[in-house]
Amino acid sequence: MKREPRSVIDLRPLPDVVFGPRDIMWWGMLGFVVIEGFTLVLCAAAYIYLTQNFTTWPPEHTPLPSLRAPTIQVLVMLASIPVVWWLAKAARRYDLGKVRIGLIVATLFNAAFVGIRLVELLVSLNVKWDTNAYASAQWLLLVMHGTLLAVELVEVGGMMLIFWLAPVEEKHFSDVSDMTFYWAFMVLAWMPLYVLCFWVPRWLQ
Amino acid sequence: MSDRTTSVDYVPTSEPYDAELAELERTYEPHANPFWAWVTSVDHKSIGKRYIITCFVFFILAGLNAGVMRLQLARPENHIVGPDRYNQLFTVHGTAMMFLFAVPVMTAFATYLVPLMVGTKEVAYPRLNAFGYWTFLIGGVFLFAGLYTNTGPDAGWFAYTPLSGPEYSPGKRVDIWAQVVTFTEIAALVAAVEMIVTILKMRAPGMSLNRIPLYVWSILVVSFMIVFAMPSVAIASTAMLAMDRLVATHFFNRAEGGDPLLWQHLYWFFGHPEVYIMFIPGLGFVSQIVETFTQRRVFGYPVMVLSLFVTGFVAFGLWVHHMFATPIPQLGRTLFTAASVLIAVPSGIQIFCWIATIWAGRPRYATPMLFALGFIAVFTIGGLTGVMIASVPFDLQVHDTYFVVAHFHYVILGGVVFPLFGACYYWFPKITGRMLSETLGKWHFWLFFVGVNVTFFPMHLLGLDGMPRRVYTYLPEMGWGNLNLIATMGAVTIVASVAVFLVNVAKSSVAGVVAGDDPWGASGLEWATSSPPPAWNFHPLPVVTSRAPLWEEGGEMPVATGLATDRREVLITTALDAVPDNRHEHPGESHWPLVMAIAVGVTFIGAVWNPWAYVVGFVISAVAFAGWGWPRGTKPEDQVTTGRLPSAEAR
Amino acid sequence: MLQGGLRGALNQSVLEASGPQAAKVEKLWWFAFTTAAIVYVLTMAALWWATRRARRRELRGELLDDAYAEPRMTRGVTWATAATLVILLLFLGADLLVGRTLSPIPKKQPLTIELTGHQWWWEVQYADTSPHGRFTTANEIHIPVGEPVLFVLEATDVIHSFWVPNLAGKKDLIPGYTQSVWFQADTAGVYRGQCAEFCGLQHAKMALQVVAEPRTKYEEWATKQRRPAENASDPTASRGREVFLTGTCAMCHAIEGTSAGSHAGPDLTHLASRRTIAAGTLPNTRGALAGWIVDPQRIKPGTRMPPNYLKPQDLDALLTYLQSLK
Repeated sequence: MKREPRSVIDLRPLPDVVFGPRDIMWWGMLGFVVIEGFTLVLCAAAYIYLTQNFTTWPPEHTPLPSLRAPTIQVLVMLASIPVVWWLAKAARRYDLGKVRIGLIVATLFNAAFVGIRLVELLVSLNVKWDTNAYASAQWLLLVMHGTLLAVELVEVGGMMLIFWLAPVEEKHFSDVSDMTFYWAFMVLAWMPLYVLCFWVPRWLQ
Repeated sequence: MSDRTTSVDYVPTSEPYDAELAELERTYEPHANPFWAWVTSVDHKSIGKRYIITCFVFFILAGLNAGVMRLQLARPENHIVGPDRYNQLFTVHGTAMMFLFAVPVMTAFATYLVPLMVGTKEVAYPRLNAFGYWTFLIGGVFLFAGLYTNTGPDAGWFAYTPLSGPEYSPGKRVDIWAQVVTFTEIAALVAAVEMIVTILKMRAPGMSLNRIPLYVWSILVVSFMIVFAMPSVAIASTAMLAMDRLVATHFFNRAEGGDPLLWQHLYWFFGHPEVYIMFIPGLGFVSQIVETFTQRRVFGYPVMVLSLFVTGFVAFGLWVHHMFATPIPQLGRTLFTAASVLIAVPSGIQIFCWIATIWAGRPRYATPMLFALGFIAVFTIGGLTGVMIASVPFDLQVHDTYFVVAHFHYVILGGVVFPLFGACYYWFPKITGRMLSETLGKWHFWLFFVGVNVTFFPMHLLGLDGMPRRVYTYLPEMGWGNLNLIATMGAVTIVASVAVFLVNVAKSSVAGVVAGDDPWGASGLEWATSSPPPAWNFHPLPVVTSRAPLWEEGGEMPVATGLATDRREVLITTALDAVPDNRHEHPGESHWPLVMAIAVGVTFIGAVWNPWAYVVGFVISAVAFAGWGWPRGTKPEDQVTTGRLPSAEAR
Repeated sequence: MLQGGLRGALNQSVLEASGPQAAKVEKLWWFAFTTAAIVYVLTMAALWWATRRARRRELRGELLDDAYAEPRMTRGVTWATAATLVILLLFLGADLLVGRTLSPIPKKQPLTIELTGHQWWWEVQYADTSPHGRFTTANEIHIPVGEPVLFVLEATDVIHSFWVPNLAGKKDLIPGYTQSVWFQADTAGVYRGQCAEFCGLQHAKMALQVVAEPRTKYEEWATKQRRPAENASDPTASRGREVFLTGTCAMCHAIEGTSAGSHAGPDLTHLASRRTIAAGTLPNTRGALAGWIVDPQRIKPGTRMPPNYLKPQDLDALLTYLQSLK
């Protein structure tokens, strides 16, 4: 029995560029956030698990990490939030000029994060990864989160280049808005880890 | 009562759609060079097909490993292979079956079926989907390249430390293993994200959550499980074990405060959900098959869906039952025992609902249905032995013996492979346009059913008789020879059954009976389009008003029209009620997914030998990422120049 | 007794319990098996019945309407689920009961044996309050019948697992961790065990034996084990001793009373008192010993012991010496 199709919904009036959770690209971003976020949670759990093998953390003869660069990192990260918030609003208004500037500033911030992260690893931690399990755990957390910083630098830098050099389409503004949401995760996820890596050793000594 | 076996001729051939269909043909026209078209394809059906085939290739290779193992164990003190080769064989058998077959074949089937079953054109991220496949392929080839060059991993598929660490597994074997895990885990996460977004945001209008097919629910549950389980093994193997071996970190080195048990916790936190990740799609397959072959919707839909969620959730609370012989506090043992016992309840409910559906329906015993029934018969045995080994005192006797080997093969073959073969027979017509032979199908089924039982039932007895796992030989005086010989004969039977299956597939692909849109009289949307479906799956889009769209009555089929045909446009709907919300343009063919997969491949394969591969790999991946994301500028009407807001329509 | 001992030595069955732990688990097994078998048969019967009813209905041309079917299906599934839950909870209860009775060791200051797992042999140290009371052996453990024995488990290299199925469930030996397990043998006999955690190339051939004997016989054995090796009496044995001490043997094996003190490999002080060699792989006979010494790689490829190509007279003397180490 053949059934005649009867059009009941006309899809033509629907928009083809949207922002936030209406857009499936936002959902992809959310997927990354959940996966990476949970990965960091597990790394933190492993870090805490390893503390039970030591009477002091860090172990004897292992120096405490310095607080200088890590705290600067946290302040720089928090300072980036209003900038990125402003960028998100500009993107929603399709303001090409503001978004272009915002992306340059964001790229510079992100480059700073990566640079300071390298200092945190090579200078602030005061240990090499192969010294003992404490050192390995510290390097694990900083490197895992650092990978997020590095990948995001590529993304933000790439967006900046697109907005300056390529034919920009409406959907790219939606992508910028999604990026700002990821940025918030990347920065906020670091806050508890900063405490875990740089303050908890001081309390567990 | 309506006649439910009539196929609904869905693809409209009347005037208004001809011009649109012609334009769609042009839009979806593949590249002129067929090889390049295949390499750059982002069509979920094309990717799904190659993914399924690749998984079966790995299944056969891993099965050949098992064949050699069974030959070696058929007689005591046999000399077919020595311990070194045997250890590689069983490690690669387990690794390949788990990472390269059981999970990926399920995600591959989902890649093919889910967009069709929810009534959309494509998965959410077509290029990412292709990237997932290539990454998986690289990982699988890498594993077998290792095995065939005598550098196969040899520390078991769960690679316990310190055995798998730098001191007791020198060389690159375990490093290869660690990175194979990386590749397959990336592929699985990609598939999971695809499925979650496709299922939640791209369903046909009117397909509210309570109208989603049970198989699609199973994929949704499994995708969430993948998201939360995979990171655990990624950290354990890629970040920790590989680093202990490569750059001397001390995660598992007791001498420096590391902990061998940390590996076990991280591994099994992934490993236990992993087996449910393989099994739950099988439950989905059985639901679809039972529905079609009883011509009745499965009984207890809300309870069936809830069971899937409960199983998936509780699966995360069982992992310590793999560790009962290690120092675990008594309270932990009790809790994990209770959870491991009670998880049988939701699976039991599913079986009871299927039995009820069969009772109330009109069952037909075509090959897919035989495999569904075979699943119940075989999996239940495995499920029951699973409840037994949830008990700590009993487990401490049979842990790491052939009793456990019997248990997990019963649940995997019963719960994963039986439904999978059923799914192959069921959806082969949709994928290829031809039916598989029923005669060969029945031979396949019975040989497989007999083979599985003859191979694995004796192993329960061997385990109770004291035979440990992962032994390359045993003394004649142990008295294990006869049962091992019987098991080997069963293995030969399994080989025969798979051979029959392959012959069936080969023959039917070219000479099978032509299928038509809906050869089985099924109810789901995938049967509302041609076999095989056109590249765009549906045009116009179906609108759904019940849980069994093709069994609806009435003279007219509601559709949604208006998606552009000069570009690849998909409909995005709301998550709960599938109300149309916006239109999204999908990319066409692209070589960037392959390029990106190669970049990722170079990174992680290089990292087996040198940590600087991560730095170099990062740079080339960044370049690939840029190529992937760079706009092609083909739509001048969508461009934005300084200061000008787009038209109201676009907003 | 010897005959029975040999037969017992090669029986590693969980279902031939000779001690209270294994006996309780064996009972639990039969309870579980019976219950599982009943559940399975009932489930398959229900499936069969469902197919038959549906078939008969179809042959009669009847169709089931939902008003009739739905409440019946709901009842059926609900009862089946409830029954399942009850059975599972019963099993859980039985399991927890058994678990609780197995944990506490019933004796104060039991005989304590420290077991250290190596790739691929078992180091056995009898702990004693006095330093002279301690002694070391390998791969063969003697215990008094009818008394609980405490095992303290450690490992030096990778994870192993101590498992003597006739007597008790297994426990892992994990580097960096100390675990303990106790069990008791209720009948005299020789009980075979095997490493039950994959530990590398020769995991398959890492067995051990637990010899349970009456208290007096155990004490005799322990007293002998505490003594250092006797001085070699006859010239062949003396020569053999020289071969041992001046060759590569002494680099890995200790013999109390000589200068050989390395603990890299099994202690050989009383090698001749053991029933098997090479961790339960070969009988302790002159021929087997010869084959093992000359080329262990042929018997256990990958083992840590290298081949030793000795001159025939040296080998003969060495064997005589080793066989004198009772």
